Amino acid sequence: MKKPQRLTAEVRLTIVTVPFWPLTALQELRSSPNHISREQLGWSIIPEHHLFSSAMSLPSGTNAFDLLMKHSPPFLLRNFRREPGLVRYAAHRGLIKAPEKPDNTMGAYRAALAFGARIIECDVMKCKPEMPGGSEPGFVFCHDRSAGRITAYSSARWEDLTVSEVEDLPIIVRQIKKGAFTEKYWVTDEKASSVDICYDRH
Amino acid sequence: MTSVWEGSRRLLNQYPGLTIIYDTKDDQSPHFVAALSKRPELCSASLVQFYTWGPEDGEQFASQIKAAGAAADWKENVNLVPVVQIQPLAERLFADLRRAPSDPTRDYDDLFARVRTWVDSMMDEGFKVRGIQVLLGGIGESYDRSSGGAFDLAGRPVTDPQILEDYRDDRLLIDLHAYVRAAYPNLPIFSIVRAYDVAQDSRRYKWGPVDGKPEAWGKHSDLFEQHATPGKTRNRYDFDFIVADLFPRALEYEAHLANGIALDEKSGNPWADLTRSVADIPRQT
Repeated sequence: MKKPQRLTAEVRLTIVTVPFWPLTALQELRSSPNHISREQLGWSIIPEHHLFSSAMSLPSGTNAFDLLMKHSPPFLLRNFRREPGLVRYAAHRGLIKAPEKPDNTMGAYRAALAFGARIIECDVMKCKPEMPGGSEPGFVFCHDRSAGRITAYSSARWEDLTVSEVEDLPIIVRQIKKGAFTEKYWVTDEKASSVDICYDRH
Repeated sequence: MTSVWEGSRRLLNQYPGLTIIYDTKDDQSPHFVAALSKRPELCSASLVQFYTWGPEDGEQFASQIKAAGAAADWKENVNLVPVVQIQPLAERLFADLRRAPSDPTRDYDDLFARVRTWVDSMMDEGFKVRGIQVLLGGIGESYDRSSGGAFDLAGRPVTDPQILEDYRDDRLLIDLHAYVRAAYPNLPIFSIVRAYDVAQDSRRYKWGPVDGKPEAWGKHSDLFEQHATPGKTRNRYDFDFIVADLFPRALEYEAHLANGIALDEKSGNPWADLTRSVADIPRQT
């Protein structure tokens, strides 16, 4: 898909006045006084085998590949029909490995796919059209209607932001105390959006 | 956050055969369907979920999608999965009837008729409906349609009106499940395993739908506990699809079931436990 062009005076003004842009965004966040270490965040470090309820507890004789092909098959929509008694599974919001791979990040989606899922479920949120008065909005992957949980730059609703304003922002995980966010956060390596899109860009 | 179209193409290029279920919200769904309809390479590998919070019926949904600028052939190309949640339908029903809920049996029957009509309208509109999501937890089995009463999971009468609604709505979904099976026997029924997003000090939270702030399960714990547990509804109801948090555990559950073993049903999500003791878990290096 062709990248949206930033042509209008209004958009240029936005670029100049908002300190979004992106080459130093990660460094900026990581040097912020609100940035804390992963340990300070308080999330457990869970080994891969704890993805299962007990360590690698598939019954003997179970072939993991066959299991995946049966329950999360590729090309699902070819000859799609119900098969009574067979339950198929989609990985909801990817395979979340908090805090490194939060929900609805490319990292979580890829983790699900690397695990072997071939059906994933993704939350999408509508953004503002790139051009003032433009008709087609962009969409980002996110569960929430606003950007505040996963970015440090804006708590605006996605509908008030364009994709090009947000696509490179590093994803953060906010510290939680007594069930509420604090001002502190940890910056993940999840900037897959910028990796993906910059890859195309260059 | 990632642009949906670019991210989807990347994933599909890297993992051929992938199917993506896009979960769209309410008033945004028509815009998403319209935009997706112009990207046929993504249509053929995707399903779009939309909710009862959005369109009032199939006809309105079709006109909203058309107004959003969909491709002319969108009905043939976009695969849809309606998601039935009772609350918006109840709000609209009682607003239309200009009365508050009063008589449990009459309310239940009126509401079930409204739910069924909504589903039928989606099926009758010529959409490519590939399934329907009926997210039930099973707690509604204790709901008595004639008295409007229910018993909680501990066997105590439910007295909080909000919680009673959880039970009533779950009962409606159980009945809807049966209706869909009978009326549309070839239509796959979807469910979901929805784990908590974070737990701290023994309290469980979901990310709030608007600002993403943690929202405690609180008094809805009975229902959310059922939703969060792999295998909980899978063995009691006939589902074709489950959109699962804890995907590996869901597969593990299936593998054991195929061997005649029903694993303990656990709702724990160690990835989301902030206060979990990790003393016995070796650190990753």
